[in-house]
Amino acid sequence: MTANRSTAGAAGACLVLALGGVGCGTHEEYAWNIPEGFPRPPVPESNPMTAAKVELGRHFFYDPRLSGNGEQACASCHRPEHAFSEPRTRAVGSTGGINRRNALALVNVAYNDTLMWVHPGLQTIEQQLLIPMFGDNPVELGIAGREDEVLARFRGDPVYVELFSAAFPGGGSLEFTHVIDALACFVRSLVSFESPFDKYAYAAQDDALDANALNGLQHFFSERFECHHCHGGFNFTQSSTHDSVAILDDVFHNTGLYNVGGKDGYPSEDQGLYDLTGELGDRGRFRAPTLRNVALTAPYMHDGSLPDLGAVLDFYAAGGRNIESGEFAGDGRANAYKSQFVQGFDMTPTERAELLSFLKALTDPTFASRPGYRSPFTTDR
Amino acid sequence: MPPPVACLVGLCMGLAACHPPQTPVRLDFEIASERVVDHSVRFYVSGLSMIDAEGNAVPVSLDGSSWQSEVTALVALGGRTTNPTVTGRVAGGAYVAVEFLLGIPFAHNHGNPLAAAPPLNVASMFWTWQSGYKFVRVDIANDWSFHLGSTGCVSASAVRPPKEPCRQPNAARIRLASDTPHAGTIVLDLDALLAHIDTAGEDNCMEAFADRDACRGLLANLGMDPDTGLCLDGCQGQAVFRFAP
Repeated sequence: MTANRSTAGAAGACLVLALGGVGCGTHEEYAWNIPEGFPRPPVPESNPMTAAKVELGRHFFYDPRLSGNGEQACASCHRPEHAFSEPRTRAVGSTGGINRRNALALVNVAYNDTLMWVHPGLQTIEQQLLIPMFGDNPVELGIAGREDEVLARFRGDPVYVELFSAAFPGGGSLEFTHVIDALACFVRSLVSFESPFDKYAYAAQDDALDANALNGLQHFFSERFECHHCHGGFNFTQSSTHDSVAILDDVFHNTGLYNVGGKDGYPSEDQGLYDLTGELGDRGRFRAPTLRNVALTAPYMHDGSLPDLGAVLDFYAAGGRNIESGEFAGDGRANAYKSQFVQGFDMTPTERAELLSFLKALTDPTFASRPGYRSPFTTDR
Repeated sequence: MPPPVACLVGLCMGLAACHPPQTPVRLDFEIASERVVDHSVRFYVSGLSMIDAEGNAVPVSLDGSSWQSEVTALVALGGRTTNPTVTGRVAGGAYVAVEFLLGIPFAHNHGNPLAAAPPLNVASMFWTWQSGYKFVRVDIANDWSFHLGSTGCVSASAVRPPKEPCRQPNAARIRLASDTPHAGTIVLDLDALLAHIDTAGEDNCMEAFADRDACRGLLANLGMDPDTGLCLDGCQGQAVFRFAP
């Protein structure tokens, strides 16, 4: 409770100062969609949350004019009905280029200590946004080289002029720093804590989970199935943090998805952390993502190569994947760099069904439909 | 301008009401091992006390930080983030030993982790409401792990706390004699902890303590009875922790 108290205390001190007229700013404190008891995510001092910035960011997020050729918005690959992921195996950019990875869900991203599937250097959403906006390998939004053209679309739009002046009073002309700050605020606002599991675990509602889901919960947290070692904590991912957490853990794991040619590698186009560090032990290591709303985010794994949650459970039960033929043939179960927690387990059909019930109970039914998260535009872009 | 009256009254009452803690306490932990090079060791130190010549335990008031609360301190050695030091204050006096619980007391071991103040908000040191915290977490490079916590904890589900204490607490009470127990370096002898344990094999110890050989050996090395998770003879048989000379 101390963490919560100190937050409240800081807010109280700020209120006193504001009443005393000693410059605490005039904007109201941002109202998070976070139920009582859950910690607040860290927010960079350089980009405090405001409702006006979130609203401006929501418009950018859903507006295809934010891409170089006007064909694609952030929401094209991060679709709200899929917890801001998409059903495609791999993302496709605005110019048709195929990304090597599956679009991650945007759920409680504000709490992430690291972002994307593997990128230990990126620690803020503001930094991460540069990749889909300006990256050229692959091209996603494809803004690089067309910066002035893209900005001009918004500078001349009265809707954006009004949103911009509310979000950045006295901000001069609209620049990409404003776009990025607003988008980061919107993405940070996408929080989800209203699943049946949350009602059961944190609101102590004993009837929030049915018997199947409850049995699945027991399996999930058991040492036999080992799920919670990597999908632990209140966001079911190790790469989650909030105020005053002293220790952050190693969050990248090789799950035995590949073992190309029996040489312990992953497909050469994407070897995970190894591609950044060059350390052999980092081959095939990717971040364990959150499991919140996971039933909405198929397909699974970094390359979308497992079609549904049943396949994911079977994969972990087998302790990896044996690909018998084709260019990626090899027994992932024997990958030398595989995590010690992916040992495989026996799973009866009943246990499998119960685990699936539990994973579905991690879906927050309010998340995808919250008006502040949906497109502000009447026609679907 | 004079300070507000309430403020003065509070200060004076504070001074008069008790013997204020006076002696700073600073204990630095370090690992000694010839057997294991690459390791991450974390453990909780609770109920830290100084023992006087009559055997009385005088509680140390821990300084507040993200690593320490009134309840416990988290020590982390090796690994990505480290915190080797426990600091606090204790009433002035002559002390002959330090004592602490290697773990979390039952009353604080099974709470809602969201509501937990640091250092009890580190997700990787928590199992579930039912099982509570990992009192000791040792991870060695070749994928061998020792995660010690209470076992035999009964509750309605993994995310409900037990109402009764767990069958095996598995929290060792460590007492170490020293002429200056409030200030010094405490060595964690990893080789003593792992004595007679095959860390090259598959025999991890992360649960089901009473029926796993590795777990039984580790509990014994910490001075506990493997069948009860209680100290044998005050855990005086342990050779894992000692003051550096």
